[in-house]
Amino acid sequence: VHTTAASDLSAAGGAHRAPALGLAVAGLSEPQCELLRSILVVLEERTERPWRLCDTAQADFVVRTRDAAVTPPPHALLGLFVREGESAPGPECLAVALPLRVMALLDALNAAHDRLAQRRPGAPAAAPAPDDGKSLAAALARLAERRFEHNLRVRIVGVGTLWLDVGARRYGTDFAPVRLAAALEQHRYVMTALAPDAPELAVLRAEGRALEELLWQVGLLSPWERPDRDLTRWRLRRWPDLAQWPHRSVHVPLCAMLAARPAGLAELVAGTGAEPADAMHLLHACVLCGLVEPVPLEAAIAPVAASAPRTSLFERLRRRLGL
Amino acid sequence: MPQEYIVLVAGPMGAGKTTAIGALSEIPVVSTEAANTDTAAHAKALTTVALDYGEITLGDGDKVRLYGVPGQERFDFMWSILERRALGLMLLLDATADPVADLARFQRVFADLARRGALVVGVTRGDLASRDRLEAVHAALAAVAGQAVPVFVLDAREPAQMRTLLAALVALVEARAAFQPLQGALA
Repeated sequence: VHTTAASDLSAAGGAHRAPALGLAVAGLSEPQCELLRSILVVLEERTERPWRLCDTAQADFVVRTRDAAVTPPPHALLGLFVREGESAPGPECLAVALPLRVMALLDALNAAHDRLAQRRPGAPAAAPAPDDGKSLAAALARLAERRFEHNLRVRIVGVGTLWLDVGARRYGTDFAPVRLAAALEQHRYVMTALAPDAPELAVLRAEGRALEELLWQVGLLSPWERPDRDLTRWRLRRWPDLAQWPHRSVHVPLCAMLAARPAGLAELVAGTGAEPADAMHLLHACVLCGLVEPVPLEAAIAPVAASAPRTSLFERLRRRLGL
Repeated sequence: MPQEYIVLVAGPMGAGKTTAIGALSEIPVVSTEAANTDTAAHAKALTTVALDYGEITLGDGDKVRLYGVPGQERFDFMWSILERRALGLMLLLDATADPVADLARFQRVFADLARRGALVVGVTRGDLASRDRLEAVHAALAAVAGQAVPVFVLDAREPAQMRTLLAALVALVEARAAFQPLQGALA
């Protein structure tokens, strides 16, 4: 019976993450332990909280094979490695399938985290701030800005699966479209590149939705990291389909201003009275969808007037129609 | 003095103009429908023969007046009268018909509003049309008034979608008016 060696629990996580949880395993062979360590490295940023291998006495979650003798500490959860052909344990026991797989372990660790959180309501939980750059939306935004050309399958923990066919400009999900925004805000996901002939892509090409619809929401939800964003003016080439795509009323005058004249971020804020964050996200979404084009700075542009008057017809209609 | 803002709703027969005004208006639509004798153009039983009318009140007596103009070409003479007084045009195109040809026709008729950039386009039955057809509408509009024209795929029965189209028209007109006096507002 092999029990893993301890590691440094205190070194867990980045500045924004909660402290690591301890995982102890018993009954695994040395190659299986090596594989487990590798998977934990892969899952470092993907689990609700980071996990570190440790001695049984320090563990929050102890997982053993059926033939391994181990005495977990009273506060620890107990899990069971289940080999192929073995019967599943009862619902009170968390099962981890052998051979080890990334997604199965990810699910087990997150389930263990959730149970521990229920036991210790005061325990620190990961509460990632919006726009921290680590959400799925932020990751997709970075890929889109780099003109990423691979097709992707994204398994979003607790939500479902998202597929992207970049070549065909389509995307699809196995969850309801109304959950897309919540899915994009998730921090726990695993991306896998798909071969162009992957069978799931054939379905996507036939039944998927326009990729721009996804990128629009990605832009509205994620930070815009472009270094020259404050130094560029933009002209709207094509309006987003606001009848179909989720938006807020402030996006309408922002688009109108970009359509009427090229504008930079500060000019948009000054010209519409919008919040800087709203203008930034709108521009980001338009850039990702290819709806705007940069305008050379030397092009002469009339100065922007002060914020839009509150008595504008748009504002009156917005209030009247509840937009 | 109360102000009135006239918004035209135009489009070929069967594109959903009367329905769209009904989705926007606070009052029952004043409609002038009669039996459709032009079944070669569209198979629907009733069609608008003069004007549809609806309105949105803004308070202080101000109103947005919505005029739906008939789709048949024999009523073209009425449109130029309305165009001069209008704040803007909501053009509805049926994606399953010939939206590019219809767009060209209405751009000619309402050339002044198109030139002023006071134009938004709602494409109905877009779910039944190919992406190529929608792209053709975008391409045909690319050069209108030197600015991007809103093109929304919508269901004319959906108030939220129609309100978004109207809001885009008003916002666009006001954005352009930041550089020139607002046209179409009647004292």
